[in-house]
Amino acid sequence: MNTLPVMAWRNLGRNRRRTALSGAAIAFATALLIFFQALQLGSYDSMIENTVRINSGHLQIQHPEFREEGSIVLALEDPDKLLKIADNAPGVVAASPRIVTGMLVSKKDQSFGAMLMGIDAAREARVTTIKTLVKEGEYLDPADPQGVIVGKTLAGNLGATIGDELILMGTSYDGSTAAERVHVRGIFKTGLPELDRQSFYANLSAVQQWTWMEGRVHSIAILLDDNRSINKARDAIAAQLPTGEDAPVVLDWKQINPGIDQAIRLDKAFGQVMLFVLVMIVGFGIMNTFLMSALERTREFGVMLAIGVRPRTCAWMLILEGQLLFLVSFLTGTVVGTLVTLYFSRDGITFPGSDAMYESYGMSQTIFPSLTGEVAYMTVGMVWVIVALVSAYPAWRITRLRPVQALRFV
Amino acid sequence: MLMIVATAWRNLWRNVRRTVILLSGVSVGLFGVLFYIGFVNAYFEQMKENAVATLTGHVKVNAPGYQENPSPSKNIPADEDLLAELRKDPLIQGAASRVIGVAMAANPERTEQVTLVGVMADEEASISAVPGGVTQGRWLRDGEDRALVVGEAFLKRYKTKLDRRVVLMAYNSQGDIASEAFKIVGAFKTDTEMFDEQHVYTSLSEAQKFFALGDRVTEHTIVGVNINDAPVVREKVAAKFDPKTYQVQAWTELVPLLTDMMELTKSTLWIFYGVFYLAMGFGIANTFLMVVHERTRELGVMLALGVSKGLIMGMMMIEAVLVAIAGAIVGGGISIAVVAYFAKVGLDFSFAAEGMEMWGGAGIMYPYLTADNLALVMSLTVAIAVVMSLYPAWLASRVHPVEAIRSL
Repeated sequence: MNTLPVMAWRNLGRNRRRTALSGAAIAFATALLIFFQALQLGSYDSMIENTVRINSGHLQIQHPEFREEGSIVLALEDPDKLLKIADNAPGVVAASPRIVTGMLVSKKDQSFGAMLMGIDAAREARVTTIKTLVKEGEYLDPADPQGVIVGKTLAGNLGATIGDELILMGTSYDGSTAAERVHVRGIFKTGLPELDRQSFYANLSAVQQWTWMEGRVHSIAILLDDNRSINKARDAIAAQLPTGEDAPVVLDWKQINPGIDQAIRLDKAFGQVMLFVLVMIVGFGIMNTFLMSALERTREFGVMLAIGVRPRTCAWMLILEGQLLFLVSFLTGTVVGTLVTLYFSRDGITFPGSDAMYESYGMSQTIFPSLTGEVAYMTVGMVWVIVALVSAYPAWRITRLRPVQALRFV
Repeated sequence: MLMIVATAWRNLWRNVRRTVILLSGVSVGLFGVLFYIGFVNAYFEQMKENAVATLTGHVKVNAPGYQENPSPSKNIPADEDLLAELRKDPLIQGAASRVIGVAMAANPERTEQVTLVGVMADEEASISAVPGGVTQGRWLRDGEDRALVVGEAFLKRYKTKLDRRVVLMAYNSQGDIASEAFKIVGAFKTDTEMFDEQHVYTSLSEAQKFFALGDRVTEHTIVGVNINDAPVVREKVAAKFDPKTYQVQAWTELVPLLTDMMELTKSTLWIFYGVFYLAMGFGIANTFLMVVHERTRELGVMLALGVSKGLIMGMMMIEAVLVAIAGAIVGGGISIAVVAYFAKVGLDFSFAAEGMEMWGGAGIMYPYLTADNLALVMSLTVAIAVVMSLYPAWLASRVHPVEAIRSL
């Protein structure tokens, strides 16, 4: 029995070309599966990135009832302290305090309901892409407290252009009516109908004054360096938040955009189908080389059986050969796959036509393949199962072989 | 030359098992790509259907500039006879007019902006999923006054129910303030909760009164039998309406973000198909190399008999082309059969679509393939198989006759 591994190993060395071809099939499958999965994971990352960069951020600190009720009084106290907590949490790139409240916007006899976002111009520009989405006029400037930037459709509905005066009416924190005269400083276009039709932005400090919200905000949007840091960052922030009734909570982008989370989950299900298809193709490639080499060796097995080797021993030897080959080729494939993935993840893969997409919607379609431990052990599992299955069939065939016929086989 | 083809053909039949192995490599790769394309087709079809299901329709007729700045003050005549003609077209499923305008909806609980949609109660079902989505109460009746059908999500948000009142307020087409109390007679549910929250429906005549439009409307919406015929339907509609006073647009122009996203996603997918092809190509080259190796002695004999290197390479290439074509046909046949099977039974994706408001009934996918898909993927597969056979075929022509004959 101890001679079996030795024989298997020698068999691999005996016909180098055959071994190299089968080994190459396994290594190639491994490398391809690693790259493919990294590409898939990378494309989810880019979907998430696009989502969070439009408006929500990865995380938001909010009053626990604010998302459901949206009332102006459901505010966060002491935003500076919360900002400091957010800024110091691990993985946080930037945090932006906001006021979000409904307003009636009028120009002459046209008026529309819209969401006013009071933002810290500099901080917001680091969290979302709003600054780059201003297509006409300019982005907010703290030195121009009455300047607002308006969604393209809303501006069109109002018939407002740069410099035009708008009247805002809404509710203040204390329940009184807030009314303010502002002017259009810029017009933005996100490509998302809801935002373009019914949102506009003003400076946070100005909105705080208009609505008697000094020292209060509604949410703090937080951008992280990587969506995989979400849990860590969320826990770190949550641990430092004040406790008690109506204490602030940390929501992630999935809770804020449930629809997009669902879309990504559906996409992942599609990704599984795709991965299955690829496994099938590479599995077939490996199977073909294994089948061919087993076929080629029919005479050799006939000789072994004829000199009294038990069929089962012969079969085990073949399976062992497969396993040895798997070990060597898998390592090679992993190295190659990792190198290729790393090469492409440096600059990312940009798809043709995505420049126009970025131009119109601020969405980047550059995919950075991302390697994770999950990719590694998924690949080990898949390739091992393929090799085990495809060496099992020829091995089983050996047990059925008749030495005399096999010897005659050319 | 003919002899070489004949030899190649016979070679394939001489060792059927080997040929089948080679052929299956081509078929499986091809099947993989086509199977996935079938899914993507179904997915995009569903996305398109969802995008146009409520308000967009396939083709819209508006006053010029309405889409940039939608307001009841930009209106068009009712054009009943033109719509009636369009409805007779076999490509067209329905055509109807609407009056759409924004309004503030108020009850004691809330005051928020909504979109008021005035519809031809009977015709609306042929152009929109909303009438079919009524879950409580009833749909509207033509000519009905001050009746409102709202989304279920609206009922929840306004903490109200059927038979209660909602006051709508808006600027009408003359710039005056209109205000009216409506009674909620029904509630609907579509796949998009946000839509349900922000849209309320009333009869066309009521909306015309509310916005002081007389018998004018803000849009005609036309829905074809098949969304992919939208460009043709658009032409047919455009032929009936004077471009000076009307603007005719297809849904692709009305929801550019979705259209752009779908186009981009389709091109992105080619990167993934590229990986499929790479896997397939490598499998073919690998197997073919083994074949050449196995046939070394045979090739050596041919060379020893004086067959030229060029002819050997040509013969191997012809074998490769024949196998690739046969593989493509077999793979194509399998793909058509499998996709047709799933198109009939549907593939349940609800495990992924669990609780998915956005996708609603979209839990089940019905994949399909177009002739274009088949032609493109099959020809690409053959091309790749042939390219990947070049090296093994060249190798075959480099065999050294004496050594080859001696080898086992």
